[in-house]
Formats: sequence, structure tokens, C-alpha cells
Amino acid sequence: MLCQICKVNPASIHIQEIVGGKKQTLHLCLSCAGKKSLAHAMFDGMDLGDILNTLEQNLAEMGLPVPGKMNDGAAEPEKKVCPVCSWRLEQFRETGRLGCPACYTSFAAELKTVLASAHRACFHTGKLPLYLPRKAMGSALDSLEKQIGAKQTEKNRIEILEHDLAESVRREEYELAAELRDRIEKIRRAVAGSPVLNPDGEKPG
Amino acid sequence: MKGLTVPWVKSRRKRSDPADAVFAWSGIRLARNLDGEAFPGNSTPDRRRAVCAAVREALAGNAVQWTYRNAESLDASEAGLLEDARLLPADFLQNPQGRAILASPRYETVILVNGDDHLRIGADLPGLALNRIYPPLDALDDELSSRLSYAFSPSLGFMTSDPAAAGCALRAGVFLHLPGIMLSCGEEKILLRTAEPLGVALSGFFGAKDEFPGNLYELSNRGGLGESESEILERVTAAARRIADEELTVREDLKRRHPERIQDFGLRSFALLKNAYLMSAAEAMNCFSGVRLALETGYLDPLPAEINWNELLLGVQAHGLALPSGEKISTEEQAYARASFLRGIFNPGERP
Repeated sequence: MLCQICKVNPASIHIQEIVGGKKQTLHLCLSCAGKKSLAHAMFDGMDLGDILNTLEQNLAEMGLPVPGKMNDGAAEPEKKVCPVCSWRLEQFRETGRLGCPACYTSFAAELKTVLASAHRACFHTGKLPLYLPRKAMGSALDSLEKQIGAKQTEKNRIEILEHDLAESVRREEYELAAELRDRIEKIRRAVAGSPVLNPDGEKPG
Repeated sequence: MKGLTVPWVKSRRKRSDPADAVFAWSGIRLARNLDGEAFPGNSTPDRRRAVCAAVREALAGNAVQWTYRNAESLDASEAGLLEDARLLPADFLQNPQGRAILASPRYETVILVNGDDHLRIGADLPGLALNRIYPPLDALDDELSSRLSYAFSPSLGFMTSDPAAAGCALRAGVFLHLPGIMLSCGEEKILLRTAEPLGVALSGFFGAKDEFPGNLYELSNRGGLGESESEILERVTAAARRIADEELTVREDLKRRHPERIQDFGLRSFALLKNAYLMSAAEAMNCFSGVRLALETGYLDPLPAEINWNELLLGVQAHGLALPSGEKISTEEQAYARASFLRGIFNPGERP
């Protein structure tokens, strides 16, 4: 059926209203409905154009496809590739699998929603491998410090570092042990002085 | 009939707790990957073979006598039996290059190399046994982590090829036999409504989310971030107990209000097992469910010989019916062989 206003496009919006006991139906196409301030008695001051525009915005924010506006601007981000293993983001979308451990960093932004919906929280609170690989240690420590915030996380971070401190001493890697000891001290001081984590504590002078 | 004595089919001591009959078996799988190495799905056969060698090397000093089998040269009939026993996923042998299996002498622990992840360490035991299965797997994992460099980050935990599995990278599953719930509401909706808030997922014996042959439902955790290993095991065990209690309550209710449903399901199934000449694995599993329910609720007299249901379940799967030579037989021949075998068991003392 054709739009009752322009009589050119097919009507995709059908508005029904009971007016004075009688059912009235208006059939519109997307563009006529989008035109602002339709001066039709049925709308009674309601700006259908505004309503539809807001709806479009809400859909886009939720990540849902907006009818009539699919694929605009969505092409570019999907071409992402992991520089370490050459796995394409596209491949992840198709198979649900990543290409290598570094993909977690390469596609960090895209994985946020996946991780949030698949898991109960966004950080690991389980066991640790017996010894963290040496080269991962530096970046691991950096990211740990950035996470100073939740009390629960804090308890784990110090535990991890103390465990690794003991292990590095056992392995006679004293340089690493000293670095770990310094970081533990730093975190302890930060926790003691934090108004969030230690509200009743004495602030260091 | 060739069988494989895997731990979950071993017979158990009878326990006084009626809920015990509802728990079929439990299993845990740990997924681990090597640091700095592409995941198996994005790797080359040569790199995968290198990973196999590294894992084999890492287990060289281990107390257990591991048997190493290269997937490319794995005996077809053994592979089929491992698949039936759910120790090997069906697609593992479709791309056998660079894949391997390491197993302890009686398959107590099985390690798959280069499935979806570099390592998948798994073990099963009959009944509700997650807390007994975990400690030896944990110890093995610790030993491996000290010899291999795992892909791990303090915030993301153990990194897996499937991001939905990262964190503890632990999958704990318990199989429950729930014929009462099936009979009383006919749909799985009640289970899904109970399972969802408990944070567990449901799947059937063959892995489907919507088919549950034999009324066997596997409860397993979803995800691994934000929980510790013991919290996961705790949660799945508690969910399994909660649902087992529900099953027993429903059975009591059925006995009171609709005993004929139990009798029909049980006696009809029993008759089929005693008389059929062709039977598929799924049908056999459903018949077992009926007979079990009737026996457990007292609507069928005890059979002359105690039946090990887990063992029977494994015995009627596809590969258990192959010829001793390993030669495959057609589906119809399988159906015939299965039915003959079952007539022998359920008509004791008679010539089949």
C-alpha cells in the first residue's frame, strides 16, 4: 500500500488511533513520517518526526541495526587485525574464537561487551600459574597498579605479588624480588592513605 | 561388546542417600594455552607439532605413566571408543595434524593437545564428585605451569581461544538423570527457569542444548572471570543438589497423583528392551531412563542382576558396537546388534 501523503513510496508505518469511537489508520512511508510537524488532526500536537528520530538514536546507541541505515560507517572498525598473529576481527565475529593471547589486547574494545555478557565479572579472581613468565611481569605489574580501586581486587593483587616475591627469591632472581618488594610497599602505602579503602585510617603525614 | 573402562563407568558403592541415584557422573575440564604462541585454530601444523613436543616434554618427569598418542596415527576403533566416552570431542580427529592425546593408564586424566586450545586437561568420576576430581587436576596443572609458560594475565586469567571461557578456564559439569521432571511437565522449561538464576547451563548427552536423550541433563558453569575455582565448583555442586532435590520431590508427587505415568514409561520401556530387534542409541537411552525410574520408585521389581547404568550407557553408543577388528558397521547393523545385546541383558537366562 502506498503512503497516503506522497502517494509515491510504499507505506511502512501504520498508525492506528481510536477517534470518537471510530478506528482511524494512517499509512505513511519513512520519509513523510520523518518530516517534522505533520499537521494532521490525528497527531494532536505530537511530533512524529521527533519521535522517530529519537527512536533511531536509541537503536544506534544500543548497537541494534537502524532500519534504512545499515552498514554506514560500520565497515571500518571491523577491518581490525591483530598485529601479532594476523587474526582478523571479522574471523572472531564468524567463529567466536581469537587467534592468539595478544588478540585480547588487540581487540580489547570489541571484547568488552563479550566478556561482560559471558562472565560474572570482568577480572580474574581464581588461581595463578605457579610462576608468571618473566617478560610478562613488567606489564602485569603496571596493569595491577592501574587497578587500585576495589578492596577485593587489592587483596588479590598484594597476594599475587607476595607469592611471586617468594618465588623469585627461591629462584635467586634478586633484582626482580627487589622490584616486587618496592611495588608491594607502594600499593600498601596507597591503600593506607586512601579515603575509599581505608576511611578510618590515619592519613600519613 | 567391546568397552572402555573409563572412570565414570566404574560401579559405585550403593549409598543411602536417594539423591545419589540422580547424579550420573561429574567431569572437569581445564583449558590452558602457551604464552606467545598462536591458538591452534590460527596455527600451522608444524607449530602445533612443536606444542605437542613441548607438552610431552613437560610431562616427562611426572609421576604418572602417560601414554602419548599422535592423533594422526590414532587407532580408529580406540578413537571411536574415546569419543563415545566423551573424552574426545567429535571433531578432534577431523583435522588430526599436530594434535595429540596424553592419557593416564586407566584414562583417569586425559589431556588433549591442540583442540580449541593448546591443552585441555580433563577427568571424570561417577556420581557427584567435583570436589574429588579437582585436586589432582589442580596439582597437574601447577606442575605443567612450572614447566611451560602459560598465556596468563592477572586481569584476564588464563587466556583461552574462546573469550567466554577465559579466567579460571574451568568447566565443571554434572550429569543428572531427571525422568521425574520430564514426566511431570514434559518440557525442559522448568529446568531452564531453575538453572538460569543458579548460573548454570544445561546440555544433553551429545552436547545439544535442546535434546536430552535418556533424560540426562548436564549442568555446567558458564564463564570463569570474577569467580575462583572453588566458588565455581561450589556453585555447580549446589545447583546439582538443588535440582536433584527437585527431582525427588517431583517423583514423590507423581507416585501420589499420577503413578500410571511412571508405570507406563517404565514398563513400556522394559518391554521394548526385552523384545525389540532394532534400536537406536537414543531410544535405548530413553528406555534405560524408564526402567531406572520404575526400579527406583518401586514400580518394577528388582532385576536378577544389578545393572551398572553408566556402563550400559557407554556400551550402547555407536562405536562400542563396531566389530572387534575395528571395522565400522552400518547404522542398521548397529541397531540390530544393540537390540540383540539388550535382549540378552533384559531376558536373563533365556537364549536371545
